[in-house]
Amino acid sequence: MNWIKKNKFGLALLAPSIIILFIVSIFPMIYTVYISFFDFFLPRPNQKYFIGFENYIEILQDEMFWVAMKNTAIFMVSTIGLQFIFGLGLAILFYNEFRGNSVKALYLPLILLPMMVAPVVVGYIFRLLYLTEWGPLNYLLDFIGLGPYSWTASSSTALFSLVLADVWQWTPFVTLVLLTGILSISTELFEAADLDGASLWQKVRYIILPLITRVIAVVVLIRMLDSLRELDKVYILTQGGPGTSTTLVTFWSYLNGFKYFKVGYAAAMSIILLIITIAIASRMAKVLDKEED
Amino acid sequence: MSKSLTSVLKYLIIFIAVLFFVFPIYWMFITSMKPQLEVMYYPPLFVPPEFTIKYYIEAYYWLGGKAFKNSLIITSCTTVIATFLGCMAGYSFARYKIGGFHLPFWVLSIRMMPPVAALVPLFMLMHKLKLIDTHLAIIITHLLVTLPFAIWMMRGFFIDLPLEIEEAARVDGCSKWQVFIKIALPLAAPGIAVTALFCFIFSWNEFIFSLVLSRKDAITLPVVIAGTRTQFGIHWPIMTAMSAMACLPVFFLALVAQKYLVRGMTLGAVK
Repeated sequence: MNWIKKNKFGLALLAPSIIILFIVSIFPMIYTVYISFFDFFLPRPNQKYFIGFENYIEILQDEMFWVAMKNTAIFMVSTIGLQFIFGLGLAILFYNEFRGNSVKALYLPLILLPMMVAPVVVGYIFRLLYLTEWGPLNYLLDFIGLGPYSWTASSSTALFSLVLADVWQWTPFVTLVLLTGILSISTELFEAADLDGASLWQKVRYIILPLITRVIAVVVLIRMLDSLRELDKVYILTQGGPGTSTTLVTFWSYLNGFKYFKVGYAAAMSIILLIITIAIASRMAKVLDKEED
Repeated sequence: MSKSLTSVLKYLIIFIAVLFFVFPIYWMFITSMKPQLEVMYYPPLFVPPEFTIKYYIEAYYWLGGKAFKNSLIITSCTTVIATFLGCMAGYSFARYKIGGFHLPFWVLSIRMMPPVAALVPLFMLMHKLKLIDTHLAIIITHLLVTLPFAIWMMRGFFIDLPLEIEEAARVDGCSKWQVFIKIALPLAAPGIAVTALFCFIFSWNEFIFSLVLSRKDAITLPVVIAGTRTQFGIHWPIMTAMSAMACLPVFFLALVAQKYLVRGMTLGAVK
């Protein structure tokens, strides 16, 4: 009681936000958990049957779920891997050339554009680039004697097409964050390394990577969480197809809920997704919490 | 390798990288201004011989204008509410330490949740309240994305402010409310602006909630863009014109917030 009195002002400032977040987040989450235990078909809202954990069991036995999990894992690992490699390379290049100085102003606004484009628009831009017959990408590949590829229309290249669009959109973000990390390293370390005749690789291995581990952790965790939510680009670019080649877990859950109306099933799947998210988010909490102490 | 050669190579790589990031956006703008026949022209026209703004006008009269207006209304309301409440809650977290680290992080983690986990219940709730296809329904769901972000960011910005000024004001007899309004808020003004910009961008680009909760009156720009796919295929010039309309405001804001971009996009983790 005393505590409430003492923090009356703080609580009053907090109350409206907590109430809103309760309505838009906690209530729906609880409801999602609740309906995940039901056989619930949306067009028949009055006939739901309690079936316990059956939805979960069915999901774990459903081959499609594991295909979606596999696609999500491939998508996550390959996008983050490529974004990290390209991002680190570019960040080091930008650092060496510009040290974040005047010329920075020239390239920075240009490369920050992709992450600002709505994912829906990214999906369409890449459909345009991927057009098999008139697309500029196949034209360029033809120039060096490759292709033509049918990109999103073929199940062997569709997932890669999705990965490429994501790499395009988020590599600048990874680059900028890593660059910020490298810029925070004291230049004396690099000067000392130069005096000792360290190679670029040695500088990366023994100075840059160890000193920006926290930044790397933040950027990788954020990208992991983002790729678990990736839905817009899939929706526009491939609709999960051809076949099941680009069906990610979020999209599969969305399809079950809003196309097949198997709401209980979709809810159980999003709870599984939520558990994975919470596991990653709690790592994130550790990284952020450490910084504040 | 000689020194000049390596530096030429470096600039070549930088040039190719920048080209890689810019070209798709250039292609979108250029496609929106090509006469329709030239879109399906092979080899592709990298610099079209003539430009037209015809498709911008067509896009405007086809659902573009209406969607732009809806997006503007929804995004502005979301931004104002999220920033306003975000300042209050962020200040409370920063100064009164309610819930320590874990409550604020729990708030932030709402931002990280997959939207599908809340999609069905929110749809049913809005359906019950007869709010489907209204601005209000979409604004409320956009708060799910923006409010946790705003609270977390403002918490960070308030923590950065020196405590002494506020303490001095308290000693001089200001009430807690006056300290918040007259001292903390003006000092945090740049942070407030940045937070608002990011809320605007997130809400402006949001797709899946807007898609599920709108039918025809409240459709937002991303929903209309997604809907340019008809049974006749995609009308590329109109689609790209609308996409360009969707991109321009956000690009402008991103340039304004450039300095804070990393901080905003990493949820304040990297400053």
